[in-house]
Amino acid sequence: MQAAHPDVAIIHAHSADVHGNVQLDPLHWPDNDADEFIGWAGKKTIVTVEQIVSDEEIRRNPERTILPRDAVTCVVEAPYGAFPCACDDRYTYDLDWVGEYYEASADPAEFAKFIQKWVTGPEDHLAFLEMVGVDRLLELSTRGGVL
Amino acid sequence: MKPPTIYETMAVALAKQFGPKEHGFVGLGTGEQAFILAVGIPTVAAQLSVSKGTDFSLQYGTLVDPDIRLPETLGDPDLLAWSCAARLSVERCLDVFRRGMMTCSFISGAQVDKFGNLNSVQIGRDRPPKVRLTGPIAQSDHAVYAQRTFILLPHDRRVFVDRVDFVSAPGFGDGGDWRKERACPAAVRPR
Repeated sequence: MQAAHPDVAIIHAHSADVHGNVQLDPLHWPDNDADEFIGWAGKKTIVTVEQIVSDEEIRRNPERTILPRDAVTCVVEAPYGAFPCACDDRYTYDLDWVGEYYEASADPAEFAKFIQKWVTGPEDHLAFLEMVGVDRLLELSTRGGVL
Repeated sequence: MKPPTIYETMAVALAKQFGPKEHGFVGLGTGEQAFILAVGIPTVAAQLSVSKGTDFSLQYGTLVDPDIRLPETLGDPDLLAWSCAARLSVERCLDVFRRGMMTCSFISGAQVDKFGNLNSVQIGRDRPPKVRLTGPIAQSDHAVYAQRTFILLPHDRRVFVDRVDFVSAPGFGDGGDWRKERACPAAVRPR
């Protein structure tokens, strides 16, 4: 069977340097290993990461690199980028938020309002996080704070 | 100033072939001259071209940035202590070849012919052969899938033959559309 080569692949990971060497934390759920395959498959691959780190930090544990820079088109720093979903050992689900999404999605007009409020409304990712609120985000953190 | 050695000249000539952005792969070498040609010269050439931003990975998957110095030796302890941005598995490296992402690679052997076929398996066509050589390791992956494969050999009549005794890494086979007929990716012409 012919392999899939999507025009664009977008994945979320834990850290990367500015060159695009992408790493996962050693403690991660095995399901997320599939992200490596998705990342390699894309003709263009965009990786959002919890944190952009230094070259030295990447070189400290080179075996954690799942995508070297040759496989990555660009990296975007997006702390809490998996919200409202969980991100391995960094933070867990926000089930209240997911519940709001679920309820809004029952009605097209309500859902349009929901999208307007949370997705198209905020100017950027940080504005979205501000709307969610620092307290709420830190409560989800499994490490007691933003890393 | 001392005149350059032939190996130094080869390293400089090879370095001139690299473009601004290369993903090169330097593999394994067995020893002595074969090691110098397949590993040593490409490694030095890659280091010479760092000002162009050339990437290269050495010994299966150590992704090295241009600002990093070469290790003292290629023994496992030195390789493991070598600063790098990624340490990819062998199967991942071969996958990168298969995807056509490797822009250049380097191989050596005992014979090459006018179609660029390489022989690192045996001398003579007898089965079993009179002289059995070390064999190709991943040479066929290099020769088929790298965008450009550099074959480094000593300039000797015994080496540059009309037809190789055994094809361990295909160049252009019998010539013509040999590669195309076998769905090999098109080889890129030298710069």
